[in-house]
Amino acid sequence: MKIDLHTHTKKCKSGDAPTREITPNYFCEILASTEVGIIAITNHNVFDLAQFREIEDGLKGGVQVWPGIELDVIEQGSRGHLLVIVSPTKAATFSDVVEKLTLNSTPGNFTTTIGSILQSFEPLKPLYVAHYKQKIPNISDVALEALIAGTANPSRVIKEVTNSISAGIYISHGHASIYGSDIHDWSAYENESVNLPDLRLPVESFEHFCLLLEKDPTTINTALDKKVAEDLVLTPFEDDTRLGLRVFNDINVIFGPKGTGKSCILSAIAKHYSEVGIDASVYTSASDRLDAIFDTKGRDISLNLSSYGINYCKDEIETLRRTSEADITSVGKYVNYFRSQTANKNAKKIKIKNIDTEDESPSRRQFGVFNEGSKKAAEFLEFLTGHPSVQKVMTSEELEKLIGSVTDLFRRLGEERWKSFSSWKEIYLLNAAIEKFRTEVERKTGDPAKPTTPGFRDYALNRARIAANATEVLKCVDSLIPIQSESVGSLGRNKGNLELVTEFTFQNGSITDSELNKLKGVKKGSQKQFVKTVREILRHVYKDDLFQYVAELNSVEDVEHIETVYELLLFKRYFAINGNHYAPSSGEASMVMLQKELETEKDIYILDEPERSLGNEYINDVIVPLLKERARAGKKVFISTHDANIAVRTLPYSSIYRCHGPGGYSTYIGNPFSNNLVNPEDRDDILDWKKVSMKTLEGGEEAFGERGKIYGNN
Amino acid sequence: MNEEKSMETISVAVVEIEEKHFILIKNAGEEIKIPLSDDKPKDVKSAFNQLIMWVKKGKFEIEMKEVGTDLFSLVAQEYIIQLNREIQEVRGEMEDLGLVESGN
Repeated sequence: MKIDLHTHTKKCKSGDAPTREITPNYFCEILASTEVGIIAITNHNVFDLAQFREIEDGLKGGVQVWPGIELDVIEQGSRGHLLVIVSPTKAATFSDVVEKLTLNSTPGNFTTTIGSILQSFEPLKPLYVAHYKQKIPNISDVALEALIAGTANPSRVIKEVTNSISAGIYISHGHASIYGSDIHDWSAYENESVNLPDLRLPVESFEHFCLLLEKDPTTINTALDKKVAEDLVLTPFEDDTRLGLRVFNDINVIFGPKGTGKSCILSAIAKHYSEVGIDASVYTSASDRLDAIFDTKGRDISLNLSSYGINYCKDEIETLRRTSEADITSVGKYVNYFRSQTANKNAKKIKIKNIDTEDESPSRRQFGVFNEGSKKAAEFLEFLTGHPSVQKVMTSEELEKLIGSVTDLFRRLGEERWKSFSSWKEIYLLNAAIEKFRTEVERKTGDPAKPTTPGFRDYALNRARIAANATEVLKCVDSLIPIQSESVGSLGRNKGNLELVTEFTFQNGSITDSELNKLKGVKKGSQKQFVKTVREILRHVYKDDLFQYVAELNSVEDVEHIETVYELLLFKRYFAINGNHYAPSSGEASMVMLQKELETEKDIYILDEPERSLGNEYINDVIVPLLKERARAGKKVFISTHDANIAVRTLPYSSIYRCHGPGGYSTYIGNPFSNNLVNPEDRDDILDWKKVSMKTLEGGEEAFGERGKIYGNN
Repeated sequence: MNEEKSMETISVAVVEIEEKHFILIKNAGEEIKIPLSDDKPKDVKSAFNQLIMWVKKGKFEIEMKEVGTDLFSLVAQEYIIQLNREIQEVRGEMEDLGLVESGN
C-alpha cells in the first residue's frame, strides 16, 4: 500500500496548472487504478468540504482520504509551504477553521504565520508536513523550529522531501520525512504513484498513523502482530544454544560483524524448513557457476521442431537410406512374345493372355480425393452438431438447414467415394486376373505372354519418391529457426538487460562456423557430409549415377545415428546485450545469479550476503525492489547482510543482530520501526537499531547520510 | 473444372543403326533411343531417365504413326502403347508429389 499526503484537486493559484483540477468521480476512478491506500487532499489555502465528502463517498472506504490544506506561510520574511492534515472525523470542524482563517482573502493572496496556524489548528491535533530544503518554497529552519516548539506533538511534524529513496517515515534517522506527489497533472498520476512511499506497516486510520509516527511500542507491536509470522526455535551453533526467532512472511534481516555465526543461523533456518518438507536452501553467490547454471554448453538443450512446423523427416530419411533401383521389363520379353506368336496354336486360342492391363492410378487417385473430402465433411458435421460455439451464433433453424446441406454433401461424397473405390478395385482385380492367366498360360504352353509393362511406371515413380523425400529433407534443413532469447537479468541502468541467446541452425551442407556445436552425438563432419550427399541425390535423381550417391549416403560416418533432421541440428548459446555477444564479469555474474534466485518461485528465500561483488547502484535499483516484491507476495525472505542498503531500504519487520563481546556471542532482535534491538536473554539489554546499523553495516554512513544530506544535518 | 491444356504428341519411329534396331523418340532437339535388338537394361534405364525429365517438364504423349509388319515394328508398337500409358500415369503421380515444373 502506498501513501500520498500531498495532492491537489483544484487550480487555486494563477501559477497552478489547469490539469490539477479533477472531478470527484475521476479522482476516485484514478485512485482505483493505483496502489495508493491513503491520500490527503491539500489544496492551496482552501478546503472544499462538499468535494471532500463526495470523494469520501465515492471511495467507499476502499482508500482512506484525509482532509488537509497547503498554506502559504511567511515567517521573518521567508515564504514557505506547510501542509496541515487532520483526521477525516474532524473534516467539518477543519472546514470551519479554514474558512475562518482565510476569511476576506483568496487562495491566491492568502498568507499566514506559524503562530496563527498553531492557534487555529492545534485543537484538531493535526499532522504538519513542511516543504523542506529542495522542496520549494521551503519552510525556513526558523519557522520549522517555531512549529516544533509550538505544537503539542513534535513527532507529528514531518518534512516533505523531493524524492522517496527510503520510502517513508518509518526510518529512524532523526528526521521523519515523507514524499508526496504534489500532483500537477492527474492524467500522469497512475504512473507517478509508483514512486510514492510504501507503507511497511498497516495503517488503519489517521490516529493510528500518528501513533506509529510517535513510535508507540504497543501500536508497532500490534501492527506487527497482524502480519503473518511464526516462531522458530533453532540450534544454529555448535554449543547447542537455542535461539528463538519470530520470523515474518516478509523480509527478515540478520546482520552483525563477520564471524558471528550469521551463516549458521541461515543454515539452521534452511534445515528447519527442509525438515518439514518446504523447499529451502541457502543461496550464496556463485559467479563461477554462471555458465553451468545457464547451460551455455547446451548439455540439456533441446528443441521441439514441430513447434516451428518443421518435419522431423524420420520416414523420409529412412526411405532415402533404404532405397534401391526399381527393375524394368526386359525388351527381350517383347521380342520373344512376338516371335512366338505363330508357334503355339493352343496358346493363340486363349485370348485373355493378350489382354492389356489397365491403368488403375486415375481411379485410385479419384478415390483418394473423394475419401479425403468425405472425411472432411464428416468432421465438419461433427463440429456443427457437437461444438457449443455453433449453437451460440446460429439459430436452431439456421443450424438445421446447414446440417441438412452438409449431410447431403457427405452423402454425395460417400456415394462417389464408393464408386471410385469400386472402379479402382475392379481394375485392380482385372489386372490381377490378367497377370494370373498370363503366368498360367505361359507355364502350361511354354508360350510367352505379352508383357504388360515396360517398367517405366515403377522405375519413374521410385525416382520420383526419392526426389520427394530428398526435397522434404532439404526443405527442413534449409528452414530458419528464430533466435531464442531469454532474459537473464538486469546489469543496471547503464548496461541494460543481459540475455541468454540460443541460436539453432541446421547443417545445410556448407556451414563451417566453429562456434556452432552439434546438438546430438553425430559428428559435425558427418552432419555436413550427410546433407551434402542428400543434395547430390536430388541433383542426380533422374540421372544414371543416382545410386552412387545413395551408396555414398549410407557410407557417411555415424549415418545410422542420423534418424531424423534433429540429428543435423547445430546450436550456439551465449550471453548478449542488445543481441551483441557479451561476457559478463564475475560481479555481473553475481548480479544475474541473485536475480535468478529471486525470480524463482519459492515460499522461502535464504540469502547469504547477496551483496557480495555487487555495487550499491545495482543493489538499490534491482535487488532491493526484487526483495520487496517477494515480501509483498507474502514470501519469507531471510537475508544475512553487511550492506546497509539492504538492511535499511527494505525496512525489515525482523532484524537479528549478532555480535561478539567480552561476554561471548550475543543475539539481539528488533526492528527499525521501534528502533530497538532487544537481547532475548536479558530484556533490559536494548540497543539502538539505527546506531548499531550505522556502525555495523557497510555503507551505513552513506545510507543514512543520504538522508542527512537531504536534511542538511549529518 | 480446370481446362485441360492441349497435349503435345511426339512421334516415335523404329530406326536401324548398324544393324541394330532402336525405338527413337525425338523432341525439341533431344532424342531418346531404346534398344530393341539387344537386352541392354542399362541403356533402357538411361532412356527412361531422359523420359522422366520430359515428363517433369510437361504433358505429352508418344505415338507411332507408321507401323511396319516386321518383328521390331510390332514390338515397338506394343512397347510404345504401354509406355505411353505409363507416361500419363507417372505425370499424374508427379503432379501429386509436386515434382513437375510449374506452368506445365
